[in-house]
Amino acid sequence: MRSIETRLNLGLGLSLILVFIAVGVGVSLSIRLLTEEYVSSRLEHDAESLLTAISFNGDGVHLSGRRVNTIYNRVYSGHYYRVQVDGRVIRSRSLWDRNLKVPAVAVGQVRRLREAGPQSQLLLVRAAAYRKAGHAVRIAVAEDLTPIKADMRRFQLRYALFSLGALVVLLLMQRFVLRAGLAPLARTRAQIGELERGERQQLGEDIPRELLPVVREINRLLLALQQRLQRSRNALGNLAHALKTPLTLIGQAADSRELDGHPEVQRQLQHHVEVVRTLMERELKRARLAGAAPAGGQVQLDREVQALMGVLHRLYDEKGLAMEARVPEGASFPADKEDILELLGNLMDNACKWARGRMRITVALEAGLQISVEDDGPGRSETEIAELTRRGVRIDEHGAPGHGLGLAIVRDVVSYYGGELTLGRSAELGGFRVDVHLPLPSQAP
Amino acid sequence: MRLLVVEDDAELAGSLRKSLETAGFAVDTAGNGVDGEFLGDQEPYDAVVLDLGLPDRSGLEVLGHWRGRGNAVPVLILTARDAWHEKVQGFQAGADDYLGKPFHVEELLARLNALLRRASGRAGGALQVNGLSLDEERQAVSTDGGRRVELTGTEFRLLRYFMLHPQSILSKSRLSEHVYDYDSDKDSNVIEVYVRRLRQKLGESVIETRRGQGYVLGKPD
Repeated sequence: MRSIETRLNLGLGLSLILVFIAVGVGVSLSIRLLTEEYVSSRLEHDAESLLTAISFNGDGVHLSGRRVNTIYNRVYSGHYYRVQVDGRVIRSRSLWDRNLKVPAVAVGQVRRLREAGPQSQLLLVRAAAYRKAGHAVRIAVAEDLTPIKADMRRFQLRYALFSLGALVVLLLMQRFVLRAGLAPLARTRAQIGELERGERQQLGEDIPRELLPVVREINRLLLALQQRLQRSRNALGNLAHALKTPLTLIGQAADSRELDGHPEVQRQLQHHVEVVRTLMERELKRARLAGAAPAGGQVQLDREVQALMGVLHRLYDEKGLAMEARVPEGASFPADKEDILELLGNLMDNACKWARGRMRITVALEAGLQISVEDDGPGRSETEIAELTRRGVRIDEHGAPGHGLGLAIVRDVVSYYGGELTLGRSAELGGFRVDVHLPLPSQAP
Repeated sequence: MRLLVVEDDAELAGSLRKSLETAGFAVDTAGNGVDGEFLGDQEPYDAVVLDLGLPDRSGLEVLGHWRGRGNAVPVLILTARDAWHEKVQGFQAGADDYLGKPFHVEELLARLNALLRRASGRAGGALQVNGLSLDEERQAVSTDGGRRVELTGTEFRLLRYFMLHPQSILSKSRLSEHVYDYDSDKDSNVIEVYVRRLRQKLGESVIETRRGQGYVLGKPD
């Protein structure tokens, strides 16, 4: 769809052009009408002068030259007359050898018409018939309209130029008004970008009334999304708490001395407790994931990795591992903090579990987020890695304790963010290596 | 070694108490955060097993309050809330170890023993002082000559406390505080009886008496 600005500019431009044309045509017509009326009244006046100048003596007709304007005596002056009395015709000297075509008019009748004159003049001709001293007198007076026409064209040209200027100025003004009016929209658009990057939680409500309902609704949805996530996380936390305590008790009952005589029952109980524990852990953790969502916030990667290193140092205190973190200072990524902690925690915990002496995590912000975690443990054979990668099997079903559940959760997080998980061998440390790539939310498939 | 278990599930608390007592610990339990916090401040525990989802006051708050008041008792968080962000919060609040539910008692014991050893500044492995080597799993002790001596529950608890604090003068009241739980009759004279029994089993010179001060295990090197 075209932008609002283009549409408004187009609309205003077209209507302005129509208005200017209509005004131009209207004004031209009125001016023409007015000038013709004016010219015609002058012609009438001249005709009356001519009528007074006519006198009859005997059978002759005489036109007194003194009473006629001298302009009628200059050849092709643009002012002409033709008087006809009882078959006799008197023409103004200005007509020279040309005649003036006059339509037949009855006495008391007046006719007005346009006619081509000498030297390609355009004449307005007024023809009228009078009765004077018993004679029918037909007087036609004409005036050249060409000078008026030229004035008219000059006026039209000036008008068109002025209209064009006004159109440009008005369009520029509209553009300015629109830009100012739509500025809040641009602000909202920028804020949506920030929302995607996790730099803000809500859109600003300092916008025009027309858009406020939309923005309010978006904010309400965002809040609802956050609250729902929080509620479901709380509920899952409570569920986990409620389920895991009895499960612990069942496990302890399975281990108890009273069952020492029944190794088969003991083994079965322990097995099922383990199955329930694994499934519960996996599903509860999967359900807690937020995934790539707007307004998820920014994760401070350097800070979180440091916090996790602190935890792992305590948890693996006895192993005395050398842990190394390569994280760019101040690096952050738009994602849910709990999700990223779960991803990093499981990767680093696995590496610590299997490491003999070293664990390393490398984080880079290249086309999204790039994480690799390596250890110097036994790693996995090529076949195992190929199988895990090719079939995307649920790693927890493969039963390798340690790497199993943790990697399954890592895989969940990665798929929720539309990322990629690569397993392999660490070239430098010699053990297992996991590479994770998460795209930026705006580029996620 | 005296432990505090703060756990709201009465059944689990009871079962934990039994397991821990069998392993040679004196155990007190609290069923909510407020009682747990009070006991942790009042009694000189060697370690605390703390649940996070507690009624009245959350485990994180309890831990935060203790640490805020300078109470540095080693704390192992035992919780169903074991997402990584929760672990980070737990350690940031001042926990020393973290164990997710469900758990095996063996793992809890191993971690507690490691925690206690760390708190007394000892490396891992069997506890060894002055030629005595303590077998914590079987509650027995081997001497220099390779002689193996079985110990009763109280003897074991007493000897372990001595061995975790070698070359320190330990008063009778301090010993009784760390060897017995809250509900026991803490008659410090009973400590004399048990010290005498340990001397009978391991030799007179093993524990030295400092008149008016208390007892010392092991001579300064």
